[in-house]
Amino acid sequence: MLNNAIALLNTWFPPTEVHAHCDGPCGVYDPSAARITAEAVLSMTKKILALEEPSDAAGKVAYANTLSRYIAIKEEQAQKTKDDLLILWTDYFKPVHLESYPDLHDTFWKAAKLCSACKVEVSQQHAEELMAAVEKIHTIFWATKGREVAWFTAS
Amino acid sequence: MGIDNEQWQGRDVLPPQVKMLPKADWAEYAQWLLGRRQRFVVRENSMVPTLMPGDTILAEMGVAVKIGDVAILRWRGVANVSESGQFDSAQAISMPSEMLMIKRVSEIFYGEGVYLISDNIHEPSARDSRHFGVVEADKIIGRATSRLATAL
Repeated sequence: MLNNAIALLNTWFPPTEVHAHCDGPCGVYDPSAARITAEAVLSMTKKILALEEPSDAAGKVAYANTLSRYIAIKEEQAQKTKDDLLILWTDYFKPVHLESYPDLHDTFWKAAKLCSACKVEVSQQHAEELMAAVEKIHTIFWATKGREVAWFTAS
Repeated sequence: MGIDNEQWQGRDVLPPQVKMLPKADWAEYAQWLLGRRQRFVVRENSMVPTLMPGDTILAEMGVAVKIGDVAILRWRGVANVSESGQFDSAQAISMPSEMLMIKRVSEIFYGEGVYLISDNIHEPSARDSRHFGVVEADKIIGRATSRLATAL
């Protein structure tokens, strides 16, 4: 009942709003974070595919350890890529950007799906497609800022 | 409201360093009636599970905050101009130049600067001192003392 009374009071005399903000009021966004993590996904995928299983017991232990580490890093970096892309998509990009880039939603949606695919699978093709998607987002992002920033990779 | 049940239930499973904001008792109501508390409504979800969007809270204004307090601060947002000095319409949308924010006091440096964090660990995009650094003590205008009404 007290809750209702307060709700009524809020309707008649609206209190001041305080923001527990989740948007980025600092306005600092950069798709390079997603590029670095997506590169790590591609690198780990390649390493997993190249890893050969030894026949001796000691070698098997080292193999299991290395493979587990590669898989853990691949999954973690794919999730980070997804998080960074979703922040750009939902926080940085605004409706005005859709007018210039009508396929923006589709681009982000497919990129996020590729992050999931890279987590689940060991697919060099999907890891390379993810890099291509991040590059496309990089190009769109810097174009909306009116700046030319060259695409480059660390490896 | 878009709040899932898991977040709501999280109110009872807080990390040990996070103190719940108590429900307003008769003493708080008395302070409010005496004009010593101000009423605020919380927006957005970076303080979940302590505060849900839509919660009404009471705050004591013009007092110093301590570590662990929930602080209300005056936040001057980024200017609506880009690096080249041009008006940036993308930034201007939904970005008031000044607003009040609510965050948890994590550290206080020599009584001058305050380090603020968000309670919502499940929200990676929550912005606080981890992104915008230490906030000057004079930007803190009050501390939340109780929850007057919950949004749910």
